[in-house]
Amino acid sequence: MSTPKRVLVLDDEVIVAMDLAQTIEEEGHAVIGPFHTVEAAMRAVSDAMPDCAVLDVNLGESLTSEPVAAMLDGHAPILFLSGYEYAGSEIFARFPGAARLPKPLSLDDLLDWVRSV
Amino acid sequence: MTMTTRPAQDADHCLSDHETRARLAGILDTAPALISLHEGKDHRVTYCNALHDHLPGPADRLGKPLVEAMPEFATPEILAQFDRVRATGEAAEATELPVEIAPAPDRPAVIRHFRQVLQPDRDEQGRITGVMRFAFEITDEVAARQSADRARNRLQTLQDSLAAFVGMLTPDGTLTEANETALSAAGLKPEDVIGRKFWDAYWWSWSEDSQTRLKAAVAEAARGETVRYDAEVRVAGGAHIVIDFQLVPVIEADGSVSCIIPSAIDITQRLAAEEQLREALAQHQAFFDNTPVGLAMLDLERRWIRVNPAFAALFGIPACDHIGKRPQEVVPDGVFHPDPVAEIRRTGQPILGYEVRTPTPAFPGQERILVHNFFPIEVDGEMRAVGKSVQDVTEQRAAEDRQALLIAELQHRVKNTLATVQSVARFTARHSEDKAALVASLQDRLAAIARSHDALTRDNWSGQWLTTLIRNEIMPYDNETSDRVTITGDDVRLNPAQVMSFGLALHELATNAAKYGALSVDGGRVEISIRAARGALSRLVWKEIGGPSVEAPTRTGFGSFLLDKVLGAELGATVTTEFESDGLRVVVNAASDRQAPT
Repeated sequence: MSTPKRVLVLDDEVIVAMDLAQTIEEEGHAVIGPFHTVEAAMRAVSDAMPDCAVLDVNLGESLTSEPVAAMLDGHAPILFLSGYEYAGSEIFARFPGAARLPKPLSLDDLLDWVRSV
Repeated sequence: MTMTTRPAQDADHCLSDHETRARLAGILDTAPALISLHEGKDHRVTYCNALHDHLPGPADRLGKPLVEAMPEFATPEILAQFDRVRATGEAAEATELPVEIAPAPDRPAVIRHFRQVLQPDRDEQGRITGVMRFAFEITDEVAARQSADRARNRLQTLQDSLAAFVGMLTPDGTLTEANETALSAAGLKPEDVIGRKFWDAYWWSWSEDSQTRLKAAVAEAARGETVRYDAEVRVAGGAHIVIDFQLVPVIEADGSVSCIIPSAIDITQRLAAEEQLREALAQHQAFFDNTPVGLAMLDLERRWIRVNPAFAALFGIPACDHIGKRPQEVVPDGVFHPDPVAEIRRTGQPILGYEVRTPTPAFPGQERILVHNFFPIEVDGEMRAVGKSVQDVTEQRAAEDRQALLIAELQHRVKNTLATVQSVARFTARHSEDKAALVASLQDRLAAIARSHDALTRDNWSGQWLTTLIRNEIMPYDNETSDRVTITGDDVRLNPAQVMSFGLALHELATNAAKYGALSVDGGRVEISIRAARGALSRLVWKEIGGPSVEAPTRTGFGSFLLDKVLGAELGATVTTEFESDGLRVVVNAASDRQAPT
């Protein structure tokens, strides 16, 4: 068991977000969220900077988690999740320090990342 | 030289015998003919005049037989003639006697021609005593005549072998000659037409109009004018041909017209070929004009020489305004290949798929994507121009981009759906008591996800109506009478993410109702009421009536979890679940001050 962390979770797909949160919590970490909208996540970040964040890139319509990432950038490590193989490259290029995992994702990879940061 | 001739004897009453003989000998010697007298069966020479001295042969011919004295003139035919004259007393004549005579003993013989007359020589009693021979040389005349014959023959051959029709008319239009070409073309013999009026001949007689025209033309030619026109004439088998027809008068020194030369060539095939060519050109022009592909041609100075309507339409500039100008002069801000002529010259290859993004007057303020092909227009292996085809692929590209986006979007949806499936599977695993229950629940939930997927696909992933989802999930349990489930109130449009979670939540409610709730017993029913505010869900009530008494479960199942967490999170709503005596009641109250998140 690694040091417990405060992990922000953002995914517009509620069931997925809940699953991510529950998985992370089961590992002994505290989840901030899970959030389903950019606004809710931004509010939470401005209240308190998390230790790290798991962000779904695409949040439906043409929304992305980019504004949230911009607030976190330089303060907390970011893990992007994306169903897109290549289309997310723009946001990845913008935040070169961020990690990324494809959806559907391997929980081991997710937890390894949370543990490593 | 001695002479014994009658003329000499007849003349002696005026002159002495000697004088007479001397004068006669002198006359005979200067006469322009070979003159000789012959006697006996071998026609031995008893006299020959001095002209013989210019012929080869023995120096002294007198007394010698003809074959020795004049071997050149002693052919079997001539000897036979001599014999006949001697026997019959009738004169004989060889009008054109060829004789081989060597100009000198060491020179080869040449043929000279003579007109030779043989007459019987008679004594005073009228008995035939010999043969008199007169041979006039006609070599020059024969040569002249042969030369004229040859010339005439050549002319005739020339006329007859001409592909042209040639003849001759008197000024009044009587046909005096027609060459073989003209006759055979119509299957005629000379006697069919020679001596008749030209217009009455087979070629023209088929049509009064053409006869009238010809008469007028002949009259004009008879006045000294050359006449030329295209005419239709009849030829063999009743076929008709078109001829380029000409009448040329032969004008004599005094200005009179002595005859008229009609001539013609058959231009039927040429006309047909011209018609074919015209047709082919018209087809090519129509092809060029009507193709939906922009086509144009540049000369080697890069100036437009041809521009088709499709090309003109691409640039919104009439085709005629291109001609003679360079591309940049026609569309100053257009983007063009800098010099296709030079490039093709250099590489010897066409330029294919040359793409530019360029403004065009046809679409002000827009950039169009034009794909060009340039190719050499060669005639006889030499480049004369550069052809250009151009297609506006702007819309096509946009469609391709849309397609690529759609594929990426589909990819995203599939991944998201799989992520949802993954999460649902994990939740199911967490909440299942055993493997069999897990498999059964998971199957049902995957089916619910698939139904939501279908509902989304039906409307092209734009979302779906809430009541549609409810019916999707609950109607399978209300297939008997269709009166156990009622849906009242408004309807609400849900976005794709909401459709997934609502679909699953409704699936859980319906499944529970069918397994443990109101739909598990006879007479039980479900009432669903929906209220919307500003297009979004504000309140949803799921009320089961007439079911078995229910109690709050000791353990939170996936259904409850979804209702509490998912619906609440999705709608920013509070979800209240009450377990009343005759059934479950779920109330979803959306926060009044917030829109459902998108």
